[in-house]
Amino acid sequence: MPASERQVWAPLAEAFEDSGGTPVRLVEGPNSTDLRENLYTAALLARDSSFDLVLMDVTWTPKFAAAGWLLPLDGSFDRDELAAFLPQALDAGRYDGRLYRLPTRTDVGVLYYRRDLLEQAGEPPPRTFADLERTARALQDPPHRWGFVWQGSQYEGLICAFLEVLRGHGGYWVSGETREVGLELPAAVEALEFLRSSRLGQPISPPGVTTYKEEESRRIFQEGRAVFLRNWPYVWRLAQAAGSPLAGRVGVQAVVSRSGAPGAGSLGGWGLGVSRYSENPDAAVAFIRHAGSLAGQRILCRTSGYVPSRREAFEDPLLLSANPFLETLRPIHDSAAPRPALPRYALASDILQRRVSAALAGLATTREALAAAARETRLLLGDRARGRSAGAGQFAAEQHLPPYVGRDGVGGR
Amino acid sequence: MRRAALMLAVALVAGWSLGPAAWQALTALKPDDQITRVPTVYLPDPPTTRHFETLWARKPFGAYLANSVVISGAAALLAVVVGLLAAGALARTTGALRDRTLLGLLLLALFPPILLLFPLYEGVRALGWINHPLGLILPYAALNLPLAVWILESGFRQIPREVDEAARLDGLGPLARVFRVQLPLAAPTVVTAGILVFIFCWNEFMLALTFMTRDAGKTVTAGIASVGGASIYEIPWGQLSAAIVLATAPLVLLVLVFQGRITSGLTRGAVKG
Amino acid sequence: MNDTGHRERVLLLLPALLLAGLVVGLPVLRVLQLSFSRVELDGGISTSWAGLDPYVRLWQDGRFWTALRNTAVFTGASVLLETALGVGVALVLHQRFRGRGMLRAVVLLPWALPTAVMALAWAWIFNDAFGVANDLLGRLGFIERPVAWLGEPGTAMAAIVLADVWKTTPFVALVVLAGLQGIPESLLEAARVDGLGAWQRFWYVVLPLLAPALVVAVVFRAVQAYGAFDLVYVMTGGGPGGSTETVSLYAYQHYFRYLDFGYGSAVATAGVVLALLPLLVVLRWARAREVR
Repeated sequence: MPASERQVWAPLAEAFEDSGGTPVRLVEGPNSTDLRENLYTAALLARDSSFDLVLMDVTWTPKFAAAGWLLPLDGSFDRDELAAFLPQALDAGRYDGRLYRLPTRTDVGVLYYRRDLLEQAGEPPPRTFADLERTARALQDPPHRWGFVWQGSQYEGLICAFLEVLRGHGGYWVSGETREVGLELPAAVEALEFLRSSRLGQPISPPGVTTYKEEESRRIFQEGRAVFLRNWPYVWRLAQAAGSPLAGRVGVQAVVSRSGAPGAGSLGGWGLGVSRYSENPDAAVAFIRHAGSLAGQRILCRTSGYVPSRREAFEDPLLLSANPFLETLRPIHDSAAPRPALPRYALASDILQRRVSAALAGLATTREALAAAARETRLLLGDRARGRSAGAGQFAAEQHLPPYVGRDGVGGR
Repeated sequence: MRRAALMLAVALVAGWSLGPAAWQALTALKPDDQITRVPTVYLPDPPTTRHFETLWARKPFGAYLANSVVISGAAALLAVVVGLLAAGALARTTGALRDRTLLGLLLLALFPPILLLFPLYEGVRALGWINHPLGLILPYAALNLPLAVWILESGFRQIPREVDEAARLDGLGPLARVFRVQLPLAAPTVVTAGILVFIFCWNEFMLALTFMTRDAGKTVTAGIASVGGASIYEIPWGQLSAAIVLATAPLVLLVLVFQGRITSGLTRGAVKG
Repeated sequence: MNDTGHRERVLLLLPALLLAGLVVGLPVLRVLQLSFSRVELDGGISTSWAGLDPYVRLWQDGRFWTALRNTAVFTGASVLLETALGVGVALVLHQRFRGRGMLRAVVLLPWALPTAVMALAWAWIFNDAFGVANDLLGRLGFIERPVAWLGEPGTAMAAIVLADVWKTTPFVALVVLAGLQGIPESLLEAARVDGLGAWQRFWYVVLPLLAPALVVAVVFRAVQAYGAFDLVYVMTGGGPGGSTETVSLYAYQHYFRYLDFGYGSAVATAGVVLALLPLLVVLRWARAREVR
């Protein structure tokens, strides 16, 4: 686990031992998600049996499962037990029909806004991208206050933010069923243009947005220097904390979409799986069950402010009193959309990150960037026909969008 | 005038060479708030050893250092012993065999490590030596053999043939000749070779990073350097600097003590080439 | 050379040659094999023959060509700078002054320190907010605002080149120094008597005599710089935007992040082959000049 989470997991481990479970040893790793992924990969590739549980990000399941590093959990949990979890979060732990990871906490991308500023100007909260842009432009006062702040640095967070805009425009990255790459469709072009023009030209986002990750963007917003912020639920508690300049002035909603319906925030979250090389699989499963139980969820989420993955936790008085925000979050989470379930997701993500970054930095045009990303993604997906799409040519004006495919891939909407 | 220019040059060279390391040492001794102050604070005021203390408590630094010493030492020993044999033989050889062997060894040394990494990983894994010192010692010894042989060979060349002949006439077999006659006479060169291999092994990163997945088994180089890559809000630069200082201190010592040998060792191959 | 002597010598040579050969030879063969393979993740990691497909993919892989270009730029800039600096440092060390031995030890220091660990130190030096590089440059009046060294492609490359040059200049300096020490004083005297100034003496007498040693050092260094991994992995991770990603790093990502040992092997192999070609050309050219 990241070193910073020790105080979250330690009480859980203690409670587990107190109730008769085997002692649990916590191993600290670097805080960076990518680094921990590399550490796990190195250890599992080496068939290291020194750890039993794998704390996995939502995008790691396909890779670890496909590599054969995880033990399936279907046999250890019955349907009722599993039904207790939020379906989107649970599905993120499935691969190829089997369950490999039980979610311990979940996340969904949301849009924060300065309710006080909007009310003052008589603007309603935005529903569409056009609304967002208009309101941001009207209320911003650069460089003291920017309209729209998000995570534009070249890392996984950028993908999360970009996918929300992409889905909001009705586009898709990789279709689950057909493995079609949708990066050259008009929707994708519009989506990337939206983000790109937020920063270049007549910006509503600060030029430094391409260096921001979660914390940088949060700080800008929390210091009152932004009207809108796209980020994760954790920001809410910090913004509302005593002493925060924004206490009581922040509103939160689902991300916007072109149609005006609530958009699909990117699904995030973490969960536990069992390593195939574990020498104590039963004890590992017992701990996972404990972490997913209501008691476990309380321990994990009460002080940390994490979003629980268990349904009833959203109605639990204890958790609600610590984090009333959960009530607002629940419906938003219902439309959370996962990232593509590819074993080589890391490569697909790296490809897209790189190209989107280049476009945002003005080093490439939107079309160039998307064309390159599409080509490289097709190569990755194994289309040996020289990276061309299996279907029609590029930028076809008339492409009907595939129906919403389902949780094992990313469909349009 | 010329003297002044020379002194300036000397100062520049010294400053350039010492600068980054010295800066690290200064940072390691600064209190946290002075580390992140703008404009930069140069001298710690007052210096503190707190970073060293927290570092020692948080990371198994003692283990890292011990691993580095054991692995580098054993690899150096192995490389030198095996290299001795080859060098002993090569020094008495002339012509095509010698030239081709030396050239061949040189070519082997030039292979980019990334090319060899994965198969070596597979091999070490198959032997069950992942997270085991032998998993690094053997590859290190083998990969540094060319260097060892090059250095040792030129040292052995210095030994007059007559000494060899006399030993053979005395009835000493080839192994005995290498270890009991040539080795003592070329002792300085042997030490040089050992030190250089030791340094290369200590500093090696790619294999160390990949073959040791458990924290406690890491060498000091891999243990520290695999921390980087987060934002300023996450890396405790004070502690990191302390770690860097501790990781490099042994090498600084080595250089100060063995400076002459290292120099001659490094230049031997190139000039003779 | 008697027969038993010869056989003895070969026997003594065997362990070293075997060990060194095995640890290089077998892996190279395996990497070649892997480079023609496809690695799938299908409940396990399975490898199958794929013929030339990985190389076809490589040909269209923009990231590979970018990595190759980055590596070439890095190698070229680094070797150029460290050769120039190395010669300069050697010239200084060649002079007689008190404390020369001390200076030699000091000069040697960068080379002895682990690249990976010092890469962290350099990342701190080039930190945009708190780094001493920005501070010094600002104080000296060279820049007005802090430069985001590792955040911009051009400056990031400059930063890693600088870090590499710092580490490897001592090696070149020492080699050149040994070469300088081998130049007979009489030759330089004669040149001085002939009326050649210091610079001309250097250019027409010293440099040509240094050439062989320099060529060896440069070739050695070029190959090493080409395979550079530690510095880039730790200091920039290949960023920003892949602008400092070298072939080594890209191959490593495929091996240990994307779990594609087949394609990673193709990247590594192609990278090495494409690097060897210009190197061979350079070597041929150097050989020809040496004969003259």
